[in-house]
Amino acid sequence: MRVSEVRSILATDVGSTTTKAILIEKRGDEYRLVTRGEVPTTVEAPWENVLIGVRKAIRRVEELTGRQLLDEDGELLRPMEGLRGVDLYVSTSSAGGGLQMMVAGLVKNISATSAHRAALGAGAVVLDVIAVDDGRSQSEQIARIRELRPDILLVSGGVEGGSVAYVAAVSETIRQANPQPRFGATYRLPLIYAGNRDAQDIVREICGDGMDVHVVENLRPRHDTENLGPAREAIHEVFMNHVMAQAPGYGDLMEMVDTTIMPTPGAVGKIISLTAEKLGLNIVGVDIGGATTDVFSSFGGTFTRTVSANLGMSYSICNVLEEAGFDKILRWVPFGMDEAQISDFIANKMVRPTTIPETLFHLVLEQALAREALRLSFEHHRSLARKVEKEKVGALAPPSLTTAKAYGSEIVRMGDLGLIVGSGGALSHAPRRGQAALILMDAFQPEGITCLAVDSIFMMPHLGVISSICPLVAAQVFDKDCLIRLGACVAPVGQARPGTAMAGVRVVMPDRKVVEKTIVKGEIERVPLPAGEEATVHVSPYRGMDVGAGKGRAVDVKVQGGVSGIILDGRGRPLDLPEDPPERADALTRWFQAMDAYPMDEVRELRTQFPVKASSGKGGKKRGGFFGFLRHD
Amino acid sequence: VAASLGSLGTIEAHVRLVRKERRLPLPGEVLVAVGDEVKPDTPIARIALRPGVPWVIPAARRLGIEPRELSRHMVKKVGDFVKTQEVVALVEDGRSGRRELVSPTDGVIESVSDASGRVIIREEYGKEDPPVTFDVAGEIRVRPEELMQHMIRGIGQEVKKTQIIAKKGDMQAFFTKTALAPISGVISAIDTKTGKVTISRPFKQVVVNAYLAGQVTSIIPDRGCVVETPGVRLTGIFGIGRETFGRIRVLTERPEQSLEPEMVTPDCEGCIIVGGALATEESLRRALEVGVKGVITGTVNYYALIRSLGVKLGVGITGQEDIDLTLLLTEGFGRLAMRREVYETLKAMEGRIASMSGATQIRAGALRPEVVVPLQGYTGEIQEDAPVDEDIRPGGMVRIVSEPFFGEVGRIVDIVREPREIGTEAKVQVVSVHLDGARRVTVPRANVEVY
Repeated sequence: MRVSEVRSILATDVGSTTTKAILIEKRGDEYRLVTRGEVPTTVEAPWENVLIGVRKAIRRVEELTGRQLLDEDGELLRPMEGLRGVDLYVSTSSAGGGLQMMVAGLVKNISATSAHRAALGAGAVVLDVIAVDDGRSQSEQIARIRELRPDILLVSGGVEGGSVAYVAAVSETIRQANPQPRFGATYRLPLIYAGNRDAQDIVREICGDGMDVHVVENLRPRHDTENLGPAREAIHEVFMNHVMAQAPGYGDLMEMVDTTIMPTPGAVGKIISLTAEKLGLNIVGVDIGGATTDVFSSFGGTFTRTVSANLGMSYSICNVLEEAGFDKILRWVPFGMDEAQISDFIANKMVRPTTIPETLFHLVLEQALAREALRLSFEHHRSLARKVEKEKVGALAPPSLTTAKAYGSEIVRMGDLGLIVGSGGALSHAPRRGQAALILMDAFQPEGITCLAVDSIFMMPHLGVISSICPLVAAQVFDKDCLIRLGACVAPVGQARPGTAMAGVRVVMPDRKVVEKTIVKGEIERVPLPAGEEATVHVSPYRGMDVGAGKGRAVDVKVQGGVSGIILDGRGRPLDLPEDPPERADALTRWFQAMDAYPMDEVRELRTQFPVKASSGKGGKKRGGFFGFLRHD
Repeated sequence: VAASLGSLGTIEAHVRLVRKERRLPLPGEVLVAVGDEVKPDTPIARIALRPGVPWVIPAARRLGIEPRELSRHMVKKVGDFVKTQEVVALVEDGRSGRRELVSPTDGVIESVSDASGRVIIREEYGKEDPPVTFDVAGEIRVRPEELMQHMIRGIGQEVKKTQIIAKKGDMQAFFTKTALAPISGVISAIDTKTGKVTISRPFKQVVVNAYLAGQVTSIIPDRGCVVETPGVRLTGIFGIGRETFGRIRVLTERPEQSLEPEMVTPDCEGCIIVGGALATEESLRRALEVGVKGVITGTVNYYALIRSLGVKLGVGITGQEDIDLTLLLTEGFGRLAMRREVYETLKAMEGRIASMSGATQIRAGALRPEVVVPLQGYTGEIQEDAPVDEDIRPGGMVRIVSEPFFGEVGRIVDIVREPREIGTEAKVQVVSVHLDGARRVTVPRANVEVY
């Protein structure tokens, strides 16, 4: 079937806890989302077959649409005839913990780091990075490799034409460790070699007996060049054909789909890259889940993905508390909270991951935790999203400069960021969209003019895999049904005293009406601009302030509207929260009101009921956990 | 045993065939046979982990030859035993004469690589080799209390024979004093009073015990076995600590009663104690002091837990904590009474030896902490595991597991199909629950569990 003839597409995402199915159909000239069904995933006992969950999810779609998609034997009806069946079926998967990899390279900051990036970009959870200079003895490395059970090993090392002896040494370490695969021991563990071409035969010779060796182009052919594409493609290919084929039910699912099954984060990454390309913007995307938080960025065509494996809103929520500390979390809450009580609430969320907050008090607390989980994940992302640079340093340069060169320069520059897309329960299902906008602003602290959006029902993975065969369909549905525009945030960077003016803003509305506003330090104000409309914003920053064009330079841009409109954020960058707790609670309340984020009568009532206590004076002991690890200053 | 089983009465409905697979992480020696009766502490399999330290020698580089030429110059071959200072490889050429590669240790040649040009010699020693203690402070001429600042390797780190482990003086090589390790091993102690350092052999024996009393019903070759017994198995929602066993002692009179420190008397040593609702911080501390093996209780306070046991909960994967106490929570955190059925079952088991494990993993493929009471010699009916029915239905009993009605129990009156707005303004599926005292509340369906 030609792509242009496709009338309906069914897509499923087999997650580690739920399997989600969506149905997309051509209505008139464009493709739109029809419905979505969600059921528990069936990869574990007693079912041990993902196909059962996939069929249940499709049945759920059948119930919701009243259309028949499966026949009596559970086979998909293809192609579409009248109102029966679909034309295409695709799927993504992260069931069974997703793709887990171990990475090895020669030098920790060069080939091992590049290999790490390649694995993350392919959607993997990286269990460990082994390098010749990682500080561990060889026997410690062997013990570690033995203890891990990766799905795939990625080995890199050596520039083209360089020494082969060290690559051979790393291969020998791996062979001695004899690592075993995760799903039973019925297949040979795949090893992808993406290093010095001259060492390919040596790696095959050393590891070929016990492992399934695949050779691809060198991912770091020169010190100043990175070539991650071939390794990333090889990881996808090997994962689907050699690893996933072993998981219960995947063999049948692979026969059912019309294109290769993609790892869920890989598919989300694909749609983010495509969107960045289409809109011509630098994008940061985030998916905050129960166990992990994935951050994606596409800056100047460079795509980076990172996983914060221990930051999430249910399974990993205690870790968010431990890493951020009480002070950092409670700074987002305008109510007085008893630490012992809220810590029990948080710990119960860990043991009962599916529960949802029932009162405004607990919703505000949960969203405070989400801000910190996002902030920490984004910090992690920025530390890893680095660009390899050309050699600039002379032989006599001090060692510190050489190191900086090896690490590369930071890719994510907040001033150049055009769009932030949020996804995952805490953002997609926030009761008011204004809450999602405020969470994104607080956690990411966009600088200058940045658009904000959320994924309506977490369908980015489905659209990612659809984009590999029907890019047009994916783009239309992403724009119309997936992306919910929250608005544009205008945030000047620079120091100012509270209450002073930071910038003047002139908005030319679609009806040519002009709205003039001043951004005041410490305040948020909004100019309503509904989704689907476009306005021209002219920002003239005052002395010392920067909105993206340099200090004091004016900016003229067209921005898209959204639920929250144009948000004039005068809270400063880095975001300035008042030190004094009652003063901070007042500021938070004003911001909640400005964003229309919460029912304000109830917020005021809660503030009376649970007043914030003033701190015990300057220099006093900071509140926090009882151990050092709960306190981050 | 059979006679005392007569009193089981009400708990007969809970007796199941408990089957545990016990296996080594790596191949080793299995010590039991099918049909053997085992106790919780009977070793069923063992391995000697890391039989020796590998010495990786860059032989080609030392001999000044290309890696691919290495095999030709080897005097010894793979599998040969070599002694310290014995010649392993030899290069003789006219110009630079004779170059030798000698073994730095007693051991077996494990591999010779023409690819990397390296030779690996596995040092051999047995577990009977005693640890060696020697005067490091004396060798480098420093006062014992200053020793720590001169140590290059620390406690728990691996060292090889002749490796420098402590050094005084940095820049002037001529005046530098060093202390070398006399044997390969792991530094197990640094004494800053005497200035002595102890190096132990890293010969580690991994032993897997039976964990519960029962019978070996099958052998997993080179790995372990399967132990089976009729018994009662209860699972909790969260736990901490390793596998342990002990006699069950119920310390509270009711499931709603908290576990207080004065209840934990010295005769609880070696026992698994059962509390009711909340175990206080002091009671956990007291349990540690007294030498209690395990605590089974409804809930604890999150803070009390990290303060009294000094653990981090992180991502909810537990079971490997280095503490002397195993904890099993049946209900979670905060203050909640233990379910009456669970409490009554434990009460009926009082005095029996139970095995318990705190290992928890809340993610997919969940692992929950458990307590197993083996009933060897039980002759009554063994129940099949009934499928767990987690679906809620009108008339069924549920417990609310989220604020503001946390812990309250009631009967479902209605399951509302259409999503309704709740206190947070979110629209979700809700249920109506009739609580004690004729109160009727509406809560999200996600926040109730079958009780």
